[in-house]
Amino acid sequence: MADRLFYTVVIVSMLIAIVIIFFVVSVIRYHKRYIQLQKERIQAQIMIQEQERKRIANDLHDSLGPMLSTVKLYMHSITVDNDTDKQSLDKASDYIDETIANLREISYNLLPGSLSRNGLVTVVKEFLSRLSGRHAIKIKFEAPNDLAMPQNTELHLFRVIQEIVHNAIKHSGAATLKLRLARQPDGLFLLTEDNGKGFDLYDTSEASKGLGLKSIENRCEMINASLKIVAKKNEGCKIIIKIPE
Amino acid sequence: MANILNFLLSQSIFIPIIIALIRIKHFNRNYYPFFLVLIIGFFAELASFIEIDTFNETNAWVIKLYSLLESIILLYQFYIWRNGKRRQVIFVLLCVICLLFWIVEVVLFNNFNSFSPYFRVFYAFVLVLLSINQINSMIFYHEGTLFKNPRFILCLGFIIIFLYQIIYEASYYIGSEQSAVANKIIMGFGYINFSINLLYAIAMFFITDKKNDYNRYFSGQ
Repeated sequence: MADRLFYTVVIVSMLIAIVIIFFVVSVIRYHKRYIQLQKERIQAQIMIQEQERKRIANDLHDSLGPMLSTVKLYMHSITVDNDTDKQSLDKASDYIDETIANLREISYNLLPGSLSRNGLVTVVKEFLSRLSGRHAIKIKFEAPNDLAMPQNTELHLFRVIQEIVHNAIKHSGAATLKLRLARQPDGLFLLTEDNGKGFDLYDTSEASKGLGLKSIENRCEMINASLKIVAKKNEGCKIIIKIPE
Repeated sequence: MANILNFLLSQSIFIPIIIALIRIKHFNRNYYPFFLVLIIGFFAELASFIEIDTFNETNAWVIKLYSLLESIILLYQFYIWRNGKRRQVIFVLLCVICLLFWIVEVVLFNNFNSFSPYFRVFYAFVLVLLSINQINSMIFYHEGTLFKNPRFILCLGFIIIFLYQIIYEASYYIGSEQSAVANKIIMGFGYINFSINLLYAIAMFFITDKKNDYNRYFSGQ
């Protein structure tokens, strides 16, 4: 009888243990699947966003740009004797020039056309030179010129750099921002450092204010890069992104 | 007296059946297999009571037949809930295993009129695992209040009742006269069954036929 009791209890305990283990494994499995699904959704959103940017940039560049140039050409062909009219025409012409420049700027920000032709380093330099003089922050950029990588990685890395630079300009209050792209034996690294007011990483994520940081995270995931943010209040911010070869 | 009390407690299965019948117009077809299990359960309890109380016979054959039907129909219910042909093979395989297990236990060992715990423990174990899987899936993918979801409530009920069934069968196997704990577990089954029937009644209350709701928009009601 004692044996019967013992074996029954052992078997029932084993069955209950299996149920508990199955529960835990099942939760983990569904959680992983859920996270994967979320990642795929975000990636699809980013891809759609990129396509939409490309479409708008092309429309601006190919359609509105030439039309404005044509308008300017027609304005130049008008001959006027009156000084007031001439001044008005010149003013209108200046405004059109400014509009064309702004249009190019918007189009460039939406999609730097030269990324596929000239590579990431050139485009980042061009992007930083466009910003210089407009903001108080001093941005230093170091990178080897022969930095080859897949086009997809280039695009996402460029967007990450854009985000980091915009964040530094808007929120950090930093005097200098250092950006460095370097190839190491274990992968390609993007290292950034600013001397701004810093922030509490946990608070920023919890308060859902860090949309820019989320965007950086998502883009890093898309290129299988690891992201490390070292930030503290009044101690600036360091970002280390490692893209495996 | 104990028989009558147990019978009365078991007849609480009538509560979810009544609620389902009242709401039959809004009843989702996805829950028909479970409704069928309730009706079969009701008749099984009735047949058990008549066998024991009127004929002074064992109700083992009723329990065995009911167990087979319950296992197959509830497996079909899970198949419908999983809503995927992808898993058809697994469910067919589980049904075949259950059927073979039952045939081996009942027909080959020729114990149609005596109690044996193996099949009842086996299918209870399978249904607990399927319920856990279903609940976890809903936790991650279901939008809305889970505690108002009939599928979630039913799966909770299945986990409780079938886990208890495993312990109950083990206690029965040990024998109520051999162990005071086993005796208490056996006596407690009626009350657990009653509570779970109330839970099923709540689930029946929350079942709605969403297709009818959609049709309402098309018919302009």
